[in-house]
Amino acid sequence: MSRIYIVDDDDAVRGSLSMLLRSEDFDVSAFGNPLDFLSKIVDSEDSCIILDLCMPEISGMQVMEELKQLKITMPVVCITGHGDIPTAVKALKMGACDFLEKPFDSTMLIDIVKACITARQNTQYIDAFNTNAEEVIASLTPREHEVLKGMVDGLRNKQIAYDMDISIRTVELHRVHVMEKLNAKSLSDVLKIAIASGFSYVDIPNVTTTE
Amino acid sequence: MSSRISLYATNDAQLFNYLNVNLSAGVYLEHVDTIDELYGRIDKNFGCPDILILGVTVEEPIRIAEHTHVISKTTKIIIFCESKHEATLQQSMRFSPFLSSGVTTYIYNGEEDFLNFLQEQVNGIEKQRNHVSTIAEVEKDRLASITHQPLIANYLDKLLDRVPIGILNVDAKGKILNLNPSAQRLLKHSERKLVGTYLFNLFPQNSLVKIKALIEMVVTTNNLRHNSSMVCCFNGATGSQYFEMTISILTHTPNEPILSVILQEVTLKVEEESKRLVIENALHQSEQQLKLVINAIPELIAYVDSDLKFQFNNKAYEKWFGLTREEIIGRYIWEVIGNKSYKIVEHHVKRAMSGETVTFEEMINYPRQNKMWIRSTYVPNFSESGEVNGFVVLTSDITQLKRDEDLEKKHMLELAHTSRMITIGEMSSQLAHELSQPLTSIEAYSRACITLIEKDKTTKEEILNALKSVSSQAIRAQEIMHELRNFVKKDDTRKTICINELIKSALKLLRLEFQENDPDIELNLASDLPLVFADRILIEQILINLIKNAIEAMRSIAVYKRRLIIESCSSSNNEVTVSVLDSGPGLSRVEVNKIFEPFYTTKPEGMGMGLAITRSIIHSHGGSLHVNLNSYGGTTFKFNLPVKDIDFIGG
Repeated sequence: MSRIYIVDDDDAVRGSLSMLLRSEDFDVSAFGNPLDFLSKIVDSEDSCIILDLCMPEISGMQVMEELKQLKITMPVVCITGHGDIPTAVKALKMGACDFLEKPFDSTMLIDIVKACITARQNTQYIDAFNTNAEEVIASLTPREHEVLKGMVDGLRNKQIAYDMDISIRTVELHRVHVMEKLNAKSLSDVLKIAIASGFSYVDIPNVTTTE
Repeated sequence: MSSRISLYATNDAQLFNYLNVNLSAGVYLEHVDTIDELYGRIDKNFGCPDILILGVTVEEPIRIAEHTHVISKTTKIIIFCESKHEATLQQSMRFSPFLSSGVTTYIYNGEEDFLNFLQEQVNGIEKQRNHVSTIAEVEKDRLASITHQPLIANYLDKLLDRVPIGILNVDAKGKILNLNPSAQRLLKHSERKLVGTYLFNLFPQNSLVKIKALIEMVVTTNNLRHNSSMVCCFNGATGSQYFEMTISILTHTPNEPILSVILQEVTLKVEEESKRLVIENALHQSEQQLKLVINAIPELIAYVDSDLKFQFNNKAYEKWFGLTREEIIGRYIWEVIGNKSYKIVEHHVKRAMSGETVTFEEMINYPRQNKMWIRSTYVPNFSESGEVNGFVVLTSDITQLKRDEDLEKKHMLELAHTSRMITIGEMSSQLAHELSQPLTSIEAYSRACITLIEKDKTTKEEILNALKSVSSQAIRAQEIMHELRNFVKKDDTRKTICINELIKSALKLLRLEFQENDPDIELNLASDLPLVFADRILIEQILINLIKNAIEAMRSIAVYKRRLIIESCSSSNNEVTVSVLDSGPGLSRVEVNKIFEPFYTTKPEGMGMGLAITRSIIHSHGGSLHVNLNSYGGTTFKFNLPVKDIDFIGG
């Protein structure tokens, strides 16, 4: 049975997610304290970690850093109450599999968790994903590239329009095209593909220095 | 009858004794010690000497001789003199109008010679006396009959002695013939020294030339009635003195004219005159400086009289209106500033003319100029009787200042708006975070329960526990909402406010917006509006938002079609209603339905929050906000606020 680690300081969230995942027949280990989690974690093929990014003692980012140190490569799904795009990009760059903003649809969490575990078992899928991403990104027009860069940087449409000196309507149109070409259903998908492609604009300095 | 001989200023006792012994019998010889004594004897006609001998020390022998002959023509006068003075003395005697032939000069040449000379005179007198004894009787009678004549002459002579005016007679070349005591005093020399000298030589070089020219001019003109005057400088012991010198022809002797010169000291007058000149110069200079300053001031300065005509203006005034001074001075105010501009300032002018100092700021459209803001001060000028003579105008161009002020206000407004938006943004983000936790867990518990019940592998207890958690998380969410409400309430600063005042202040703040878009503004404000209890700043912000929206909505239509109407009224059920109408293109039905939804916007740069926030603020005040299409083809936003405070927050 797949084991899911839940790391969240909020008792209600932790309790509810535990019950939710147990109802889906997962084996659940829940931790309110990230240090406790790090001391108890056991790497395994079919496991997954659900990590709250915003915790008092050490942040989710630091936890991911520690996991890297421990050479634990289990997929991490980040959840946060403060869902902004730069945080999402940072988390994904750090190696998170996905990023969910609270409150989220619990079925979506379950789908993601399942997908992560399956993906881990099939590394080929990841490579295919990466090549595909590069191809798709290469098919974007220069204007679409610029809009994508703005999206990755976490800018609002209004700001992108201002920076590119075009109307908001045009930005929206470009955005729709980018989503279509990338076959992405959410901003999270867009970010994942952009990162997988090694999209040159994805540049979070303080993350690259810690790597 | 004996002959009386008076000796004046000859204190030679030996000579006196010698004469007294040797002169023929019947001669009475006496000493006269002072001039007063001498004049006393002559004036009384009693003891008047038959022969008067004037010593060599007598300063003014000719004057004394003249004086004597005016009274007593028969008195023989012997003037002792030195040989070098004899010729000049004799010439003066010849020209003196008062001297008869009975005056002789005598150069002293020993006792015996003088005795003989004197005896000759005595003999002559006695002989004459004998010969004309009968004639003398008649003469005496005649003289008695015309006693007033010598009196007049006497009077004139005394006058001549005492007048403070110097009187001299000179010949055509300027040589002094005779002079009165005042002239001696003025010229600081005795008659003896002066007679025979040239008048002009007494004066310094520059005056000398002028006096010479004056004398020459009088002689050439040769007119008895003509006077010529000049002021000349005289170097006296006490510094410079000034004389006014008047020269005229006195008489014509056969050969040449005699000139009479009148000297009057005018030193004080001249000094005063020069002082006056200095003061006048200083005054003139300070006036020039003042003029320079007034003209250098960039503000307009003018003076308007009680007829409302310009009396004075500075350079800036001319420059501003592009007129010359001649085109301003004497013109009516409205002729210079234009009738339209005058209409604007007219009541200020009236106040100034009623004696009030007025300062005002007005937007004025002067002829040939753009609209501008001016700040003027009118300072009335009062006459001594307290009437207003006119007023001083001080005007400066404050257009730039106003523009800066407006811009600053606009920036402040934008800043206030932005900070409000940021606060709202932060609050909503905080709220979202706080609520995300309970909502996540409620959703997860519910989903877990559903899954477990569907799979039918749960216990009643498990579901119960999950539902308890759901319930407690829902309560947690409610608590967060309560906290938020308490926070909002704390921030509430409601007061009784007058909506009409707020409308006016909002319009004032939007002045710059109007300048750019120039709509036709119409205000229909109810005068008997009750006060409402509301947050002044929030309601003002709402009005600004609605008016700004209206202006922005009309941007796409022609300027002359732009109409902004703001109405306020109170309805029966204790509400105040405010409507903002525009004549813009209006909204579609879809837009009307969505307009209050958050993030819905028709403006390219809009966030879509304005109307949503506006509505929530109105709701929090217990009012409502509606949108309608109006008869101008545009949109009407109408909100009402209850008159009484309603203590509830939220929708």
